[in-house]
Amino acid sequence: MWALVVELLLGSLFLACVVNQLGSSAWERWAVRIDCINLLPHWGFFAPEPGHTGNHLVYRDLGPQGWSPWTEVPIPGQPATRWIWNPARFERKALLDLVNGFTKAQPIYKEIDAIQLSECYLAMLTWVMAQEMSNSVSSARQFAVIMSTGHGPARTLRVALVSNSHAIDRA
Amino acid sequence: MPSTEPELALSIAVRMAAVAFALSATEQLWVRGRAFGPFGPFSEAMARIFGRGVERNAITRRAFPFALPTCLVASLLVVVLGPSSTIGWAAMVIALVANWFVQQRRVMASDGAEQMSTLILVATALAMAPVVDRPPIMVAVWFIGGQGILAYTASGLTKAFSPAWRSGTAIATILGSEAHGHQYSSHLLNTYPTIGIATTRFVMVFECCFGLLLLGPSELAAAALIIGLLFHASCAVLMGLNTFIWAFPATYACVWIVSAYFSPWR
Repeated sequence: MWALVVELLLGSLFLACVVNQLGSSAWERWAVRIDCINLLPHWGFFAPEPGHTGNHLVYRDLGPQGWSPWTEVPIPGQPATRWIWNPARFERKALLDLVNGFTKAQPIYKEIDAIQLSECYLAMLTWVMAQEMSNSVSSARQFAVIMSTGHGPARTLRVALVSNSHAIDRA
Repeated sequence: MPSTEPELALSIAVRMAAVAFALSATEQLWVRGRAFGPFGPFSEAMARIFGRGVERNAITRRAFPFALPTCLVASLLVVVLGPSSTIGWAAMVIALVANWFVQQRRVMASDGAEQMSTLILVATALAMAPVVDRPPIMVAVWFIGGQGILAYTASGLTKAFSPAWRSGTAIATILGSEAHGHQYSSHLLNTYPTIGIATTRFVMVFECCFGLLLLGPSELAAAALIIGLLFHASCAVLMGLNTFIWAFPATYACVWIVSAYFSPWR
């Protein structure tokens, strides 16, 4: 009896994993609601779009003298031992997921002119708002996402997103 | 070539998946103060935006501070004891539950290695549950082996429909990135583009044909698995994907058993 239960459970899970690879948006909307333990994978592995950028989250504060210089939210670089020990990958991946999520949601939220209400925008805003203030009388903060490509002298930067300025809540 | 016993295959799969879990838990513990603190991407405020967080009920609030150390210790127990002992089985379940608590704060930053390790542990925990005298081990072996074949095949087919992968520029692009790149390799591929094009197309074709190769004679199937292992080792060294080399090769012993059922040569 237990074998049958296990067969049914794992068989259903496997079938769901197969369907999850098909990229159906109707399925994804439904699956996200029931997959509360994040079991359904998407085996893309850098496909269809290979990752080609590094992301940097920067912010600046508006004070009495105007805008402060841009400051980057600190995310450690890659150690030489990253092939076996790579703890900073979580923070880097978090930013990557937010930027990718924002890019994916942009067309939908732009249609209703509510891009600032998308989860990923709000998450990036929350992240930068949690950083220390450049001075105690700053009244607003603005953030941006910079994408870098290449290494060393071949490195190029481009601005992917600039937010509106957001009032700092001192409550 | 000797056939692999299902119980041994499952033991290998679970122990390797547990290594991936343990490594991941240790890395998260290392950055816990910064990444899970109020200034980090896994703060309570960040989790709340996505409808999660640990402060919403007493169970998650009390369990979360212990989740990462528990996941680490439980995973190490699984590595040492394997899935066949009652304590090893309990440790598997505890590791899964602890990881779930962690994910109530770490809403983002999951990856394929974590997903594959989770699937391996879930399948084994179900199959090896101490409720029957003869656990349905083969069901878990089939699931894990099938999942391994699905992962490579789905990835390969997605690449086959991608212009960047078909053109042969994908690997040079990835190695040129700051997130997963490698300066020396990027320079090499920019200097000799043919290497990048050949490598990109080889990865794409290999992943697409992974399942087919396994249907061949033992030597061909073994070669496919060795290439897979080398692929993941390369990804670890060049791209910093240090847990993938544990999570995906963990499926290989089960993949070997599953493919033997369909191969006319084995």
